[in-house]
Amino acid sequence: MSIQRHAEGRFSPTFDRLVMEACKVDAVPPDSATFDACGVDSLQILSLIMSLEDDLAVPWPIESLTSVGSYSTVGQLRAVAQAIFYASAQ
Amino acid sequence: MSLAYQGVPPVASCHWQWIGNILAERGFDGYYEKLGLSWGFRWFGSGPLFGSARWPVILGRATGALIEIRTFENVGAAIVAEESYFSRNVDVVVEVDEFYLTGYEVPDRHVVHAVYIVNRPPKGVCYVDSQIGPVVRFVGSDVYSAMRSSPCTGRVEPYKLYAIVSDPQRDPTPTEWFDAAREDLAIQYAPSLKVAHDYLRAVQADDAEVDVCRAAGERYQAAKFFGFLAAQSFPNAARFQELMSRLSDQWYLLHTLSSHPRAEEPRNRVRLAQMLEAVIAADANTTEVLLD
Repeated sequence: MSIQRHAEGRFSPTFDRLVMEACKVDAVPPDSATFDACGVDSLQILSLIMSLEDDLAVPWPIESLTSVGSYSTVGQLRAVAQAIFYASAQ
Repeated sequence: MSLAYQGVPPVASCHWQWIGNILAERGFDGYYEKLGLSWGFRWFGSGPLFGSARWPVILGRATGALIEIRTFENVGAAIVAEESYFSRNVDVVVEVDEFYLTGYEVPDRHVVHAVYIVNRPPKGVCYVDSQIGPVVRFVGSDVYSAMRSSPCTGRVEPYKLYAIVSDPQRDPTPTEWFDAAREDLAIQYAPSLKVAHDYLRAVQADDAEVDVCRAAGERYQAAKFFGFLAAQSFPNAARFQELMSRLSDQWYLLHTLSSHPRAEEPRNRVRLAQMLEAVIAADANTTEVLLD
């Protein structure tokens, strides 16, 4: 199994589970869903990031954390989280 | 009274909402957007990081308006001053503990909030809270003393009030507004940046907590000021508004992280100090762009 496939096997289920928990829904929200519409505020996004760090054992770089305010959709957060996780898995 | 501005503004910006409301009531429309004339830092060696609070001075220079910001040693002195203003028909906005106010879903928070004192009948005061709406509420003297005195999170400026002593006497042009803000910034920002670095060193040494919502509020209001200038097609104002909005978001994010239940975890304490350093640097860079 390639590193990428192995990483994907860990990343997506963890991300989806934590996003569902944060949004308090039973199905994964589409990437276009906004956190605002899901009732997730910036404090909860930070909690979500900390949970991602815990469960994936990958710390978020400070420059990505200071941009949290610009992650308005699930897809935007997924893209950043994926990039950070994959970079650490290389 | 009617309220031009109501609802929940970002943390540490409610006093501007009130001053904007009072000036609008007196016929000075749009001043809420013109009050964010300064940004910088103050720190008293402990407690929160404050903004520069230079805006009343700049507003006075630009328009002739006089807004006094005062603190007091005890509640008795504060109330004597409030009554004196009231007897002279001077509008006063006071800082109180939100815990004592009516209409909140989370009633157990002790946070500083600004309300407008409408009337001072015997044995109490009547106030309006613009976060809730134009509803006049009465509190007895004992409760009022308690809400003025209560130690809230990060409250280090005791019994603070804002008195709108005199109205603007002239309406500056957009260029005059911009120049007034820029000239003060050119003089005041560099020394205040040293204060921010003192604060950063204290945070890095674990001698101070990260508490920056007041600095965030000042940038939020400054973004509004550039929004006002942008609406007047002032050169570069739209860009400055965007830069200042981004900066305000970064300060508020830092505030949010510092308020997080997991903020005390070692990795988050380190992270808070790193973020503080990054945001101070972004603040200095943004200011440099504006002064260039």
